Amino acid sequence: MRSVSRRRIADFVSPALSEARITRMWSAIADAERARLQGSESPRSAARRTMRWRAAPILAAALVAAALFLGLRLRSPSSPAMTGLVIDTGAAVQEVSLPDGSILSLAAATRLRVLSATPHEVRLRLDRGSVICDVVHREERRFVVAAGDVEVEDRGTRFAVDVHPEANREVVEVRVERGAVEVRDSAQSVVATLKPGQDWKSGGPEPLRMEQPLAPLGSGEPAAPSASAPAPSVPASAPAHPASARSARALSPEALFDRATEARLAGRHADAAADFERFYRRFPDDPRAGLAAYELGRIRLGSLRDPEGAAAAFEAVLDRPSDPFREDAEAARVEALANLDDREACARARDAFLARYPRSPQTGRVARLCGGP
Amino acid sequence: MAEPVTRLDPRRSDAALVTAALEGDERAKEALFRRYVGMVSGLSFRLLGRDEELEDIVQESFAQAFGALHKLERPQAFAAWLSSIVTRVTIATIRRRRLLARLGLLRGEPVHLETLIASTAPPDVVAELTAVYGLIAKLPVKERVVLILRRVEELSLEEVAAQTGWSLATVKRALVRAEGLLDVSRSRGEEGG
Repeated sequence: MRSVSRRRIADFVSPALSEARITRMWSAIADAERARLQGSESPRSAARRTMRWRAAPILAAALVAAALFLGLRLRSPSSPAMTGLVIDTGAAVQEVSLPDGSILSLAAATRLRVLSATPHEVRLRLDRGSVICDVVHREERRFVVAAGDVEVEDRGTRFAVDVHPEANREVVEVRVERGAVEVRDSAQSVVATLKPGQDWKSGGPEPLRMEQPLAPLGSGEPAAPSASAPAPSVPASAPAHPASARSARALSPEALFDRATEARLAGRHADAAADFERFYRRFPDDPRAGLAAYELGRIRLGSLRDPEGAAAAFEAVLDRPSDPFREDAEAARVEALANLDDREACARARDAFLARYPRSPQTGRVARLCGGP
Repeated sequence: MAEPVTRLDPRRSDAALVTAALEGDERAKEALFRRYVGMVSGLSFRLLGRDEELEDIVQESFAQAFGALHKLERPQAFAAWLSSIVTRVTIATIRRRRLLARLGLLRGEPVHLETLIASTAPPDVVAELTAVYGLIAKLPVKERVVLILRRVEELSLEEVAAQTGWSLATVKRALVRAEGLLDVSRSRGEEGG
């Protein structure tokens, strides 16, 4: 045998390892590693672990019971004990889960105070930096972020607030991804009502659009600057650093992509998502545009816990028929829809994936999603 | 701006990367991953005989390795240490799949030789691999693993023992049984024609 070929026998039995696949695996490992170092479990590994044992009925029943228990706890009223809490992120990105399930993602160098947290009102004060609020909306409770001279009140689910100095004054910028918010001045007059994709900046006479209007999930969007292709739909991530948005405009594709990757590796998920999205929008003809959208989707799905936004980002890859990340994006979209608990859409996406890629290495994993066998 | 991982000096030794990783350098971990993802994926793929669950195993193997990096006494032996981890993770996966199949919770899936063996493989290699992979589904786990590590990975018996954590005697016994079944399988194939 060995005389026949100088190559090892093993060399003839090797899996297909595309760059996309390697990137995907590394991203999952990096997520798990960060979670381990922080003493928690990454959402992807938690999901994988859950999936791994899904066939064992007793364990599954135990998991369901535990999930229900935790779910009830998460839905308990806001905690007065949080009142007075001051969060200063320093150099790190931080994510804070409120007792009602709302999630605050704080950029580095952010200081946020919890002024009150009762069943009727959650009131936060952003002294500096950026926060993305993914709010569990409840009619009977106000959710307000005060920043500078204004207050931003939740009327929906996900928005970002940034406060930073600019020309000797404190500037507040607000951006909405989903739902709606009202911006009020110090006299409690509504100065702006923002819907998905709209931005507002203090000091301007009208609500200001800082970038491209944002499209709701699955709808079209005005074209980004591209000579050859219409811009696909990618709902925007909240900009963790509007200043970064400005500086990004001067960056080359390579520098912007490198910056996004750096942010991802450093665990600055919101920054990474914002830069990947900027890259996708500014350079839709770049060969890495699909990878940028795919990375954006992965970050939203994992670290930012935004499956709806993730699904939209993955759909942006699907709009690029020859993109090398198309297969990965289509599989990941099924996972995003599964996380959204949209069983019908998930099952449709799953079946379409299995029909299109019956030999994909991801076939087994995808087949098990959303109630698959 | 920190140096992107792709621009890390490729000549940095495993030991240097392990040391940097232990100091919290995530780029060093990524460099180790990229250096060995082919080895880890390949080894697991050959032991499994399929692509399904491969990514889970690769991720689990590296996660275990990074989590236990401080226990690695000789950083320069990272590759061998990682091989033993991926071997054990893959063995655990095979055992779990078998258990689920026995409980009727998982269908037995045949090995697809046409997708497993590269089209560039010479005929004698194809014949050898066809014989091995045609048999593995019927072999107990130890015999299966030992046969692949010996016949496909071409490891010595001592290396097989080190990689699996089994005693040399266990490896030898398993190999004798597996080789016997391989011979029977081959002779039946020849008789059949």
